[in-house]
Amino acid sequence: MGLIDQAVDALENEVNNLKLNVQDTVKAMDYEYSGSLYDTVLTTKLGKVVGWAQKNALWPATFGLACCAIEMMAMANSRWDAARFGAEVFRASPRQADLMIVSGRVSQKMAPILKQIFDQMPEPKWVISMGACASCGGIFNNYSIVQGVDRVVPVDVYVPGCPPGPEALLYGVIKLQEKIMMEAGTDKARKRVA
Amino acid sequence: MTSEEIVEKVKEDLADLIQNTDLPQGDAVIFVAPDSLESVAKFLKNDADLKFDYLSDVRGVDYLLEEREPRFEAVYQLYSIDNQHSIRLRVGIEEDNPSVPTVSNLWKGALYPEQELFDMFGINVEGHPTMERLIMPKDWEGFPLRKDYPLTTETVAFSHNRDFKSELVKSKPPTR
Amino acid sequence: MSVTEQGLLERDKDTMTLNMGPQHPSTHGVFRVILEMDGEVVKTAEPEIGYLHTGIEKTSENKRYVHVIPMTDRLDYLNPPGNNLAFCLSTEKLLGVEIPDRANSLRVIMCELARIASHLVWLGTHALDIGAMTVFLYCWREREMILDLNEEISGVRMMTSYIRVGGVAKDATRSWLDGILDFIQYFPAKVDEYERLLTNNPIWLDRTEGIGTFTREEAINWSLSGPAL
Repeated sequence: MGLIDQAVDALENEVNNLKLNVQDTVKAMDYEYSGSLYDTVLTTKLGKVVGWAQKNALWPATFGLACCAIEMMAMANSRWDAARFGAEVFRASPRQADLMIVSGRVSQKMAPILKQIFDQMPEPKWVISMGACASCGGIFNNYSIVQGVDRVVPVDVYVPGCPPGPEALLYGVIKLQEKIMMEAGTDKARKRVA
Repeated sequence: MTSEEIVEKVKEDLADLIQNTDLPQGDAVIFVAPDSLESVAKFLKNDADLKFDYLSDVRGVDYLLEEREPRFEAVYQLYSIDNQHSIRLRVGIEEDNPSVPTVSNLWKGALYPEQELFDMFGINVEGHPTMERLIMPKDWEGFPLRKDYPLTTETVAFSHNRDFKSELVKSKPPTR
Repeated sequence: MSVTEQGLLERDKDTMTLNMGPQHPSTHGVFRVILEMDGEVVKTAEPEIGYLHTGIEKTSENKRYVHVIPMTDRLDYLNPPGNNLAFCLSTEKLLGVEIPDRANSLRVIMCELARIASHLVWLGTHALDIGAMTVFLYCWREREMILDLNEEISGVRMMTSYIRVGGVAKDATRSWLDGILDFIQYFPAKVDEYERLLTNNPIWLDRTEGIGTFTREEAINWSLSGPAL
């Protein structure tokens, strides 16, 4: 009798799993093919174009806190020109920026302000956590430094270094551009705006 | 004036206000009780030979680990621009209800460092216009630079504590 | 009563209370000032600090002397060798140790290079805030030369940790010394270039002369240090 019960339970489990799988696939198919084919092709291609435009004109908001800010300024200067990658103007106001490069150590007093500035940025927005202190607290494991800025804002690219050279930060920006291009036209990019 | 001359002059003129003097590595140091700090400081600033018109630094020390009485100490580093000599004033402060009079009416540059003394050690500075937290957030509890205040509240995941590294990573609060 | 409380109580005052917040392009780092302004003239300014408090003192208390040297690098991050020097000099005074002459000269060279680099940052960002963006680019171009020298001698661009207790980390090489000599020959012409751009510039003079003045006695009483003193 016990064996038959077990067999029935196992069968029920299998059937439920199948049902769930089928539901997922049906939902995905529904989404894919809702509307006409013309519509989906156009939105995906259009999404790619939008992504290309976004990645080539990332405007950073100045959030230079400490030593990393000096290297961020060095990245923006003539030797490692960030302007040739689209980060031409460092906007002072977060309302006009779409990239926040958190460069420097974030203290407990500064964390609410970091959150406030991030909230003031309009969607879609990306965050690069520059340097060791912003990524994980760096060499300061103590009462006053937030151990990683991803406890406060969601981070897209982490750039390690103390301070990371401008070439490293530039590589981080390029990686972010690749990430934007990869996500463009898909659900993830839509979630950023919605 | 050399450090020995400074110490001699101070010992002559302020004999009963000073607790002790010292000459470590060529620096002039005098130990003062908190009650006599104001008169000693005024004398040091206004005396014609000494003329310590520049306050280089105000720092606090916590001697909890050395188990010394008094527990706290406020150290004032003074410098004379015209005579180019310096002196160190060490004021021993008791553990319960620590307080020290302010020197900000003599040297206005002492305002921020004394606020920092309060913020970091809990040493109350009497006569200071704004006795509130300077560096830490206004609602912070505890005095960070005291020796019994913990340095950090979390352990970092390294490769040598790899056994519980996965738990450490899990215990990181979710983003946003 | 703080300035902000006073401002709230007297609502019919002519001045405007403006918060020059911690995130601001010209505060360069985090510094908050609550300004009371009458048009463009600042009547009172109440600063609020502590947004970059790192707890370096307390962290250094729990480290060995060698480990503290990279922490001191990050105190004044425009002049890392200077901070190293202060720490190492005091440790050597406590130990009663004498430094060889060559190490002393190398220390002086590093500190002076760092001083030049730090002042270039000041000049560049000061000019940027006032509006002269060309000077910003020029200053960083010279600074890159100094940072290349840093990298050659210590491996790191900015936070060199070059000055250690008892001397320096590594001896100088012939190519490094040649690099310094080249820089010394190249640099004065650049200073002339900055002067041509700024010193007799009416906009620069207008925006910097007579702003925030204080007397000698005030400078001493307020315990100022550096160029202000």
